[in-house]
Amino acid sequence: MRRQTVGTPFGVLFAFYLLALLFFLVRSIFTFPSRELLGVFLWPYVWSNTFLELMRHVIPITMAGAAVSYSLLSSPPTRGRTPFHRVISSHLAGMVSLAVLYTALLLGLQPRVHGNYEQLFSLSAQARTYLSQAESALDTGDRRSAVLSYERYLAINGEDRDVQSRAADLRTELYGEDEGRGPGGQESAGREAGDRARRSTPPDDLTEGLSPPELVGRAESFLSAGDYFSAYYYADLAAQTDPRRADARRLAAQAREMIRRFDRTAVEEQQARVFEEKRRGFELYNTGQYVKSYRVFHALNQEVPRDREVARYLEASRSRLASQAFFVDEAQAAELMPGAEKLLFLNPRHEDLWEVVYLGRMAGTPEGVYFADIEVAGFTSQALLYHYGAPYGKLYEGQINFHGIDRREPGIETRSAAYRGSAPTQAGEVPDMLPLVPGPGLLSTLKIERGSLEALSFFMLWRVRSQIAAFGHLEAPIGQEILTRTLLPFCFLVLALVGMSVGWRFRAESARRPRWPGYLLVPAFPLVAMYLGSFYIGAQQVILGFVMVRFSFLAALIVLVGLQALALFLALIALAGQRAD
Amino acid sequence: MRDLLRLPALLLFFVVLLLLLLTGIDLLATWGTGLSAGREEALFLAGARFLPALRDSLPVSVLLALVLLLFRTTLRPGSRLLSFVVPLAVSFVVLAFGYQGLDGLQSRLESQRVEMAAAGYSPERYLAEQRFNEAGEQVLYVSELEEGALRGIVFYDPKARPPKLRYFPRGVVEVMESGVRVGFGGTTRELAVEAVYAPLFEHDPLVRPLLEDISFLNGELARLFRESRPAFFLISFALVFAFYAAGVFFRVSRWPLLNVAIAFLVLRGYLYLVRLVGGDMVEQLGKVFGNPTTLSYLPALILLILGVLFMFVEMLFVPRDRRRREHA
Repeated sequence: MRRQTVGTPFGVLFAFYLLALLFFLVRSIFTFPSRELLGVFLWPYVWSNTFLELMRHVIPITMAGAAVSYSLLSSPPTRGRTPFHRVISSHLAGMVSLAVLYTALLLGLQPRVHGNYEQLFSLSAQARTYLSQAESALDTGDRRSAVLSYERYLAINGEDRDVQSRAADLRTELYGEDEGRGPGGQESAGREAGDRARRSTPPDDLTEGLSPPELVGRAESFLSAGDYFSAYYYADLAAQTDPRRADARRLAAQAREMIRRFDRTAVEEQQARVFEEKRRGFELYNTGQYVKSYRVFHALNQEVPRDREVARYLEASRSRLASQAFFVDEAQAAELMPGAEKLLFLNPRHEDLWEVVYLGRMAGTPEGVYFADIEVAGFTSQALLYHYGAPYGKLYEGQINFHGIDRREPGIETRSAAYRGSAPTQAGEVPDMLPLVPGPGLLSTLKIERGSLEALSFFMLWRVRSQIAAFGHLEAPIGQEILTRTLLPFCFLVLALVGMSVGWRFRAESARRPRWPGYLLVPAFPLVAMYLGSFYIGAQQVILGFVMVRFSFLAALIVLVGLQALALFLALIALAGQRAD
Repeated sequence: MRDLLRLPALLLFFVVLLLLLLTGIDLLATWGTGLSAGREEALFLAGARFLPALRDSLPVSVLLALVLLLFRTTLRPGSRLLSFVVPLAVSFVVLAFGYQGLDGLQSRLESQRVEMAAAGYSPERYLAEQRFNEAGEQVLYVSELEEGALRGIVFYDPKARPPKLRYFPRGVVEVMESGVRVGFGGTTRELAVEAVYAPLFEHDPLVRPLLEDISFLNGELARLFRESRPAFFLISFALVFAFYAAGVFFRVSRWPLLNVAIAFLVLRGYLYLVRLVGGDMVEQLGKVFGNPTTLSYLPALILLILGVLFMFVEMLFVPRDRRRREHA
């Protein structure tokens, strides 16, 4: 039998989408929160808010659009009773395609847009802080700090001509006409010099005041005495101090090879273990992993305190770590980059104490991951062991390094400072280093506010859910977010099918089309659909939330699948049960 | 004449169905919210909530059942008199006397509620051990929580001068009506914390105004039931009468779907009107007239006037079997 077409509902549906888009666009323009956001963010706000509002309301809009379009479709010429599903079977494929598109937007684009949306607010707040810092600095006569704060503000809001001219005036006052030699010019020169210095020169206290030939001589004597670790140590120092010395490099390679070949069966078992640990520490040191080598040699030093090699490499690792510093201005620049804010979490690296970490801000740049406004408190249920803070930090080998230096004035540096107790330098803790248990990916999810889950991708939510409890956060809200994002595409399809059924059931007669005033009341449809849709989704969220906290997340997922299968079945039955005539 | 039996049966069926659905959702939310305090307390809370939930769901269930019945009478119009009088009478009886019955039952079980109030909620309902507990902008971390005693506390206050984290070895917690009162470090703070699982059962912000209107209606019914039985019966009748009279909107135009949408919005408008008139307006008028007893009749009177108006419109201008005529 030839399929009878009754027209397509998608024209009306897309008209609904278009009208909704226009409505949200206009509303976003008129409700721009100028007190919270900088004017420069008007259009980014408008586009992201329009998209988010559309996604938030797309289910009732689809339901209303489907209902209206079906209520306006013409009945097919009847020859007896034609099952309704034959009339609309081609439309079902279209609805399923729309549901797939909605799912892609919900899981793919929406979290990103939400993340950008949140960034607009945090950057605006940051910019206002810089502005007030600049004004406070001016009040106290600190013009250099004022210029820096203005520059940071302008990095966010470069279009503010008033601040531009104020900053230019101040720069002229400070540096004269040649602004190229102002802070920016000095910074780039300083950066290059600093980078060179950091990369090439070993710390002065490691060479013990010896010249390269003396270091090579000492390495040779240790090599001939069979003390390969010391031989390598001095040969490597000589090679770093004077990279042109091929003999130093050759000696270092020879010593290294001997360490690698050392036959552990020739020594006693404990010596062999100590030796193995020394070799591991040595390899770590040799590959530049100074935090790890520090820990290995610190542990060895507790075990064999008289071992001179261990003591020497422990000191060498410590000195290397002390020389590991980041430039504070890089950390300050990172504050202007998009990133996570107000992170609060447990850092579960000890069994017998709790460590709470607060990170005011975290942002990734090409130079690395930086943190600002850091606090760490370690305690037992009886007493506080340590509580310290640091203005800035940089991620380094899975740790936060608190040691920052000023590019222009080497005397100025930032470190951790104890509020109460002392920094945890006992038990092998590295000074100015905080080992982090959560990785950088997970870190950004450990925010104080619960509302920030919307910016996380679906896959990130899955990953985080199983781990987040260890960091002091409830896993239930994440489970619920996963359940909701899984639920919504089904709701989209089911409510669209319900809309089709209702529209067809209450369709206008072909011969008596609605008069034009009726079309003016079209906004009433999404309003009604919004109430129905919200109750439908809300009721399911309550059921799923209850099953999750009473039983388990898996049980909630099973119930979700069962509920959706039932709802889809009933919606299809309702649709198929309509009469075509 | 078949409508004489069919319509009340259908109405009662809808009422029971909706009552079960709404009460069930309410109880699940209560039960789930209490689960952080342990299964026994959660179950006890859900049990204590059963009758109040049933009573709170009754008015909405009756009004929604009436709307569903209107669908049926619109699609299959029967006797004008019967399909008006019978559902109206039955729904009034169910609402007014059902409410009275549930309230009486609840009063008998009041001892249970008193017992709960005396025992108080467990602090675990509001504070989770070894978790960060949000209290507005502040955050409270508790390492150990046992019978109101706190150990190993870290308090985060974003507005405090650095340090933002503060440690206290021990403290106490006491449950209040909205949140908890905690004492540590020589000071007592009232923290507006939600129950640990409450955010999972929060309502969608889109429907919050509607739920607030429904909550106001329930509050008004409870108040009038306590203060003046005639006023309670009057507003019960006014509600069902106005809702049922709004059936005229199901036939107001030649586009049936639009009629349904308009009718829904009118019914939504009734709830808003009750809140507007019963809340702000009565308060303002009370200052002028100084007779609150008479003014408490005002929402009911306005609903009655609207109901009568819509009934006249239907009788005079809207054909009862419009849909059937258009099909013919």
